[in-house]
Amino acid sequence: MLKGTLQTIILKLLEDNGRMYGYEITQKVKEVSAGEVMLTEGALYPALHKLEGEGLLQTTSEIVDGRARKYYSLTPQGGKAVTSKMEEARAFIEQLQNLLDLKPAIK
Amino acid sequence: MKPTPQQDTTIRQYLRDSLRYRETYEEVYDHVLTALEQRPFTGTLEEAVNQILREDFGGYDQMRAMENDAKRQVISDGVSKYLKFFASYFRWPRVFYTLGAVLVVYFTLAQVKLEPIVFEAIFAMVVFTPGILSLRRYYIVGYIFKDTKRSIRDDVFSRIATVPTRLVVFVGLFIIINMDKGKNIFDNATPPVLTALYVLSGVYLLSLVELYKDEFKLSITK
Repeated sequence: MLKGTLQTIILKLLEDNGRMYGYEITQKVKEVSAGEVMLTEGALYPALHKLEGEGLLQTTSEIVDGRARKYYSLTPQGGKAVTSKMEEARAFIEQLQNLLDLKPAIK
Repeated sequence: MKPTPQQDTTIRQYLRDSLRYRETYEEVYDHVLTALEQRPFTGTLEEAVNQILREDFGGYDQMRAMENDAKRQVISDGVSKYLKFFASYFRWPRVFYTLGAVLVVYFTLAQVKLEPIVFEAIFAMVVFTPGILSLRRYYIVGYIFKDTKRSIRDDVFSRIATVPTRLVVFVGLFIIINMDKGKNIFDNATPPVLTALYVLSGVYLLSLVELYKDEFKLSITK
């Protein structure tokens, strides 16, 4: 996975699903990508904590089956960040596409 | 695979021993239990738990690295939150109250001859209030979460709460060095200097109280 895309994926998933917990995010990524993208929690939780620290995510805890579950959701600032991150990602993919489609000039 | 109550206790104990902070412990524990319930596993429970920790978290070392990372984020978040509270007393509309406090303190110091006990009381309040607040926080955190495991937020609060103590030690050292040279810096302390000192101390305490209250805004639904 390209550097920086994990944050965009998390923000987009939370925009679409409202609130999610860590394990749910990994399973959703696996499901949407048909198992092609495996998000390891070793990368996911630091990214979630970073986004929370930046004020893009907020958390609530709920007791589920007798254990505390931490749900992540977007803050108003995070909601705005999704749009700009998605635009950045689209522009990057477009650039990459242009670069990979380039054929060497025939002399 | 649904763990039995006894197996559940073993998992809890293992993770509590492996992880330092309550926040990361709760997150990893919930993750492991959810994975056990939702994924098909063959073999013993111990193997299944180890497999989850290895595959999902990259093993024990990675979990500790994850904790350190989370700690850095929480401390940075907490300190910047505190600084925002502090700065808000110098911005509209709160600056209006700060200026009011400056005027009241300045005119009181300039016009009224206060007894030394008043200064001693203010000094004690600034130094001891953060300590009392810290102890109260530990009590409430334990009461709310029914758990005394160390929290990442403890570090944020204790760092900020120990600022006056550190300053007192530093200033005390400065005074002793000066007194050795035959100078007493308080002889020349004018109302403007004392006003600045007292108003800043007040803002420091109010911001700390706000940080304290903010922590308990955390929504817990059962």
